[in-house]
Amino acid sequence: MSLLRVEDLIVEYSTSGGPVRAVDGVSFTIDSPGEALGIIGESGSGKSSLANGVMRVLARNARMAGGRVLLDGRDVSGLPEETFRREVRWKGIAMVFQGAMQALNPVIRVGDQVAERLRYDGLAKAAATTRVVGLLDRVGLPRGTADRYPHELSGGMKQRVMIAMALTHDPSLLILDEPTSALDVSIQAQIMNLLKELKRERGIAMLFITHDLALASDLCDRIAVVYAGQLRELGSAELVLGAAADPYTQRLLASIPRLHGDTPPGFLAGSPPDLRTPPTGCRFAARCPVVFERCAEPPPLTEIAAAHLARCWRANPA
Amino acid sequence: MSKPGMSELLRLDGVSVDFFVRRGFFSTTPVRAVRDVTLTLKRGENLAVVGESGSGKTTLGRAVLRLVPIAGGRVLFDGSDVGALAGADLMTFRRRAQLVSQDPYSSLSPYMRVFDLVAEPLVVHGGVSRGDQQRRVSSALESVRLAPTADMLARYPHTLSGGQRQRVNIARAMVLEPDFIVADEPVSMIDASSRAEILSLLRDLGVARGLTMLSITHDLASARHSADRIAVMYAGRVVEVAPARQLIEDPRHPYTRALLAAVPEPDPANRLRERPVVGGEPPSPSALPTGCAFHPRCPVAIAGTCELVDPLLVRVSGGGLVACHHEPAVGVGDTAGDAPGVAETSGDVETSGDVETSGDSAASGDADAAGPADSRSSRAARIQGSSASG
Repeated sequence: MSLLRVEDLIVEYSTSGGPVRAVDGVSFTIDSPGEALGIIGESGSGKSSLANGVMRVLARNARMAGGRVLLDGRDVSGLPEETFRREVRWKGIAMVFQGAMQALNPVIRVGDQVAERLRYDGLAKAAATTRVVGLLDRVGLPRGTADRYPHELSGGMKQRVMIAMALTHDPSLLILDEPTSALDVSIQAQIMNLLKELKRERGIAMLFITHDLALASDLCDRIAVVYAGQLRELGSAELVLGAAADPYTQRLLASIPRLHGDTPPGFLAGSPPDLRTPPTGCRFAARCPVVFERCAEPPPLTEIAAAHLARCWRANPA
Repeated sequence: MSKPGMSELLRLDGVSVDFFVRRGFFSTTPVRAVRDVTLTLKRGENLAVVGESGSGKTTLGRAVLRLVPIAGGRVLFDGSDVGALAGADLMTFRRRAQLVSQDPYSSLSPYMRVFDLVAEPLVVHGGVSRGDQQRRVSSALESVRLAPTADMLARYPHTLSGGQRQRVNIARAMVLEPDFIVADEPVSMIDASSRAEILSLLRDLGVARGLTMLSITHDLASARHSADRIAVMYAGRVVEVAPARQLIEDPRHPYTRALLAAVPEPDPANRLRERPVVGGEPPSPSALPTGCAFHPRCPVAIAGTCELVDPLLVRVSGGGLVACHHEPAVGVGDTAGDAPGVAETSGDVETSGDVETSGDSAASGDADAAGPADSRSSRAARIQGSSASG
């Protein structure tokens, strides 16, 4: 039984131009504790909608229009909101939201903000305080941080506070939505090291949402590449980074500027399709350098090798 | 690589920039965001200024364009002191030196069409007939690889992708046919797969039009591929300058090494190892450490030296410029160079570009050991703290 199983997830936004499927039938699993799956996509690919759908914190104009989310075999997507809130959100699945460190309340000490969720669940003040001090220490914050206000903390420290908040209820799955995108590269490296430790030492499974394939390699055992609401490729980090089968993944890899190497980075001309009127065939066809007649039909996500899925007629052995 | 024989377009001489931070109701206190930066850009050269937030890199770019007042030193553009320009001369400078800003979402008015956005600088500078406007807008759009079709000209920014908006932004700069561009993180808000497109566009424009460019970025890997030289800034100072490839393959300053170690590369083995990091965070400019600003985080700090004396930016073996006590100055006069705070910097305009930072007050008392310029130099050595001969 997988720790997390997402089956054919569909997230739809209602817009003035009609419904938009930001996530269109995405399936994947996270099989064991301590496993990290990277969801890689560019802006508008649906990666954040996917995360918000799993956490059930979709925007007001969005809804889960299909599919199931199973946590430890239990269908949590079908639960009433009250049950989900009481039993799953923050307990089974916790999340570090993109840019959330800006949402810390400026007039409440950070320790009290981390303790809020524990206090809400009925933990006595003294016990909650002890636990918060331990959590802040665990995420590498100096002693005394609990008594400080958000404006006294740097961006990196605030992001550590957000991670501590997500850990209050010992979740088995942590969703991280671009957790380092607002941070400088040296602070980013510190946060990535912390996430690695949590993964290794606490066995927390992670769903790491990012646009940065190189950054994903710092944490993720398996990598899923999304484009225009669909999975393009899914496999181990070794396969996706070392033997990418999908032309979009290949281009994305080629667009990373290499520090050591004189090959200049490549780029993808054009932009992703408008999801109000998605192409009937392959969604990447308009930008694909190896497009051929077959691409007028939508390619299925197929297993092209053991535990390596790709959505491309070229990679499809059949 | 800088090409020999290029003449100098821009020179910064000991430029410092202060911000005023409010203290209480009535008093403000200056905070030095850029400290004593000396840099030279040759015509056609692309210099990347790399640093983290708060390093002063953006402020430096704005100071060069006279968008913020400078507190010390001067900026020379094509031989004239930018701070002293007025009237028609200032207008000419404003035409010749352009900014490409970071955020293509907020820097384009949502109420203006592409044509009006790109034509606006021509209107501001005046003297261009309507017919000429159309011709120049079309040519600017073509130069950024946007087809100047009637449809494109009539579009509003919200219908454009991030990459297209940034190209409109660049077209706004190009339409005035500038000689010099400050590109402030031009791709940081653009999708990864489109970044290289914008960077290669800027690079091609630079080559085709002989543009001189100051590229401000936090991304060392991109800088390697788009710049001729890289200057690394930390806490308001330039700590290392070298040709792009050399700086990355043979970094000399411990901060440069730390930055390089933090850059992720797509290697599946990354997840299995801890990334070497320096602890802590960059200091606030209002509370700079004494001595070398990097010493509290530096893995190789020398007790008794680094916390006391801010090292000067000096030419070191290999030809780059480094401000670190571990990197002695080279040159005839470097026998005394191992004494902390005593160093000389030689200008070396002809061979590898010239970037010097004079020492701050902690060091300036001992400036007695200036040696002559190294043998390749065509200029006399300059004692730190002295002003340029221009």
